[in-house]
Amino acid sequence: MSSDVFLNQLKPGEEAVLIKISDTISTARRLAELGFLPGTKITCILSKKSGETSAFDLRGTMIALRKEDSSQIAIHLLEGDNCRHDH
Amino acid sequence: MTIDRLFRRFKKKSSSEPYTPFPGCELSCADCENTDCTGCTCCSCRPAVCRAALAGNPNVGKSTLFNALTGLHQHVGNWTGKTVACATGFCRFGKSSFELTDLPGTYSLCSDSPEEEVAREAVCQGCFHVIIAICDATSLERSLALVFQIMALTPHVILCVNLCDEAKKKGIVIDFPHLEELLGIPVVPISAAKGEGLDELLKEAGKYSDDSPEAFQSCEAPPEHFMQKAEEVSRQVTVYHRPEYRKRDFRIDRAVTGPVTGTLLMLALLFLLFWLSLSGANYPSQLLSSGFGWLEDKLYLLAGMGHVPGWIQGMLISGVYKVSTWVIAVMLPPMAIFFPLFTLLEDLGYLPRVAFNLDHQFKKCSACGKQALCM
Repeated sequence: MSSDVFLNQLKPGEEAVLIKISDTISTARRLAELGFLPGTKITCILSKKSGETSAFDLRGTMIALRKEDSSQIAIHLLEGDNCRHDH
Repeated sequence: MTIDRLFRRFKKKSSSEPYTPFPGCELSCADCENTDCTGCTCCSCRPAVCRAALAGNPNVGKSTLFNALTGLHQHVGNWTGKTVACATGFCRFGKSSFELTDLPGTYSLCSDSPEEEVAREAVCQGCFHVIIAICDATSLERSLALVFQIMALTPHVILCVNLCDEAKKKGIVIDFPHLEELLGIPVVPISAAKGEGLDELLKEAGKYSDDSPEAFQSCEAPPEHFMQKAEEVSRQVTVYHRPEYRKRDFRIDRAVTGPVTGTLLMLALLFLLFWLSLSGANYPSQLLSSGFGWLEDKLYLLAGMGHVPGWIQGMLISGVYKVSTWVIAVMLPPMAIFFPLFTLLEDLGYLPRVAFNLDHQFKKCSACGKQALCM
């Protein structure tokens, strides 16, 4: 597992598993409380300006993040069977 | 369905509330002079009523439940952190009286944002006989994490699962007896907007009124711990019958936030909203002002018959009466049109999408998309 992929690189329809949140950001704790924990499955739903602002589905809730936060979240991409949504 | 809810909300306001607000509760405490119902700061005295706090994640319907129970009209909003201070209200059910406190919505009790501090202090100080933890039936997993945190602080917890009607619509089935068994606390399914299940909730809460409120230590366990528990429990009790429902939601979301469709839709909706409230308001405005004008003539007639001195007539009729009716005729119709329409957009959940759309632009001036809603 490489941790070179970050949440802001996720495109709509793609799924990933969270590996780690960098503790350098002040929002790390808050994100953990919202359910961003290692092992959590995250689906990208919306993405604006190639990841500048993105909305993710995790644990049945939609949460929108800015790039500052999402780029600090390391993920492991899940290769999709049924991940791709039609447009 | 959302329009339904809106109308129901308006209807409910006009009809009589099922729970009588509790006007005169006495709280006598020897140590502090605070004798009103809102709270005794020293916490050593026993209030005559059962004190219950409503705690839960943001946007699970705490304020809706609070309003349904107390008959008050706290503002209910569709965004996070709308309640920052605690509101208190009273209601009576059978023989027991309740003092309800609407705590700010939080995801956790452990960190340091102002809402969380308020909620944590309220729970830990032990002014309550019982904490009513409110969950969202449509995303049980996330809201259960807070319930576990509260349960770590106090044994006096009732779990109240709100939005059961919404969950049913989305094909989510929750096994409540099993949930009760797993958690070891009473679980009451309700839907606050429809007023279902409120009797059962108060019945459960009333059982705690004889226990004395206790103070508790603050929690130190990491949020991960509670989240894992929540994940486990919710997986055991929830069944999703219609996964395609969410896919449809996602497709709509993609359309309303798309770069072209989203912007066009937003402009169109805002234009329609303002056009309706500005030019649509002209007709009732005219009607009102001609009505008030007619009444003004009659008032002059009446004043003339009663031989009221001219300067008093001028002061009262051309002064006070004319100015206040003018303001009403100009201001009332746009507001009466704008606010229901805005509420409709809010109930549809469109406003958070607008915030998402505009966040990028707002970031450039160091603001955030949420502020678009205030403009």
